[in-house]
Amino acid sequence: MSHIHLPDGVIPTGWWLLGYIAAFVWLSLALRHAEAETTRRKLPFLAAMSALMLLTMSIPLGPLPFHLNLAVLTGIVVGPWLGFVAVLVVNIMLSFLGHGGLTTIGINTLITGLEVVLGWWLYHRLLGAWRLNWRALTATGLALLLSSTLAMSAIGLSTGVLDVGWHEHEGEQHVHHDITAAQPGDAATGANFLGLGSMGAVALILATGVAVEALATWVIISYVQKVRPELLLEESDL
Amino acid sequence: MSLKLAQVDYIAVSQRSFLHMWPTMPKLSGSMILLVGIIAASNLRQGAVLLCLLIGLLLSARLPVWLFSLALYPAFFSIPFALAQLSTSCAAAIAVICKAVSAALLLALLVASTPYPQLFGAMARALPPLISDALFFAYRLFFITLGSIQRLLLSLRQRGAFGRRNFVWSCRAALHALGYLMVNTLSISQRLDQNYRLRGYGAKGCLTTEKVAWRAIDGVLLVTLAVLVGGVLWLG
Repeated sequence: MSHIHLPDGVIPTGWWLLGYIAAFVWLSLALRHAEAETTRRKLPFLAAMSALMLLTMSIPLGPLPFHLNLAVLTGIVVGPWLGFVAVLVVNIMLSFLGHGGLTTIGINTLITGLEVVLGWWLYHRLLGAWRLNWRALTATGLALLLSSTLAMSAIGLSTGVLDVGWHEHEGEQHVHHDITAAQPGDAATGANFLGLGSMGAVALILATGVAVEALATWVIISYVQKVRPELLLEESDL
Repeated sequence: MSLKLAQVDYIAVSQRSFLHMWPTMPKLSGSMILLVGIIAASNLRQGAVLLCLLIGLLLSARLPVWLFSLALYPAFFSIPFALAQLSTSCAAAIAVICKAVSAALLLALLVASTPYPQLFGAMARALPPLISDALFFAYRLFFITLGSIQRLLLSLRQRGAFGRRNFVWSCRAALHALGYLMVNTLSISQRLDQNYRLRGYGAKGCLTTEKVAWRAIDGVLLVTLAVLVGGVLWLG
């Protein structure tokens, strides 16, 4: 849900270069872990989750101005390192279709990758003793909230834009709600959404998005637990 | 987006144009030159000239005009950033949108004129085997999964899963379908991987990176493109 399709040419060069460098460092660490044969065996999982993320991103959610991205679910299934690689793969493919730019792959991957890592850590580590349903809901909700906040802060800092536009899928068409404040410091005069001010609209959409993705992850995890519970275990637990 | 990806893939394989004929590596290099130009464009005039150049390429290669619609998504995404530029000038705001559209159109032209094994094969030279394999597998699985989800949705619709009176049940059914799809895709992916391993592909990756013999004409084209882009940036 925090996947914001930042296009080319809107983020200052220094910022997207920084994004690439940070993503490269993270990727190097991920690939070092991926050298192990056990991780290599997870390539089919990585590819399958990447394909599913791509697919769910293109499924419209009725009137809701966002889409599912299953990033946390990916982290839970393939782990934090390969989950990050999956996000990179999805961002590369999306950039070829105009959903996010080539230069912004680094930033987009970092933001969604953070969701993967946080989701995995919360689900498998911090909340490991909790019941599965609550674990899935809380891990997804918190991971999305943190990564969305980071995304908005990064964009706000780099461009001076306070808010970013959300998009919705209506059939194959994207319809955008302009919920932006036009200029820094002018948030209050921005366009309204459901009678709310810009910041209120942002908060409402963010909360709805987090809730929908968390509920979806919970239901999917409940289903997977019934039919193939071993998918939700870590490699060390098998 | 899913159907667009399938259509773009079909155009890349089935159509013939000078862009399709151009070998992948020089084409990628040319795309990079244009992308650098688009990013470096600092005003509306430069951005507009580069966009016109790309539209000219789209039309002269006789690629379908709807490919331009792929470039319109970033136009919407860049609106907030354009609004932030309104304080500078209206031209600066339009330039932001122009740059985003140009970059997306460039990438649309690239994928619509290059079959994905060639594109990923060229990228595999720079990417680690795990990532290039993941790209290749994910791309194949995407189309397999797309077929599965269309059949699943039809089946759910026929069973009345999307009736208006049972919204919660509909959502639950759709998400369970997604869960089924996930389990199914994982199984298919494992079989695909086993097939490739049986055929001898393994740790070194599934994509072949054959040596490309650069022709003199490729060099000439790239230099011309660089001069053209440089000229637009310098004169604009």
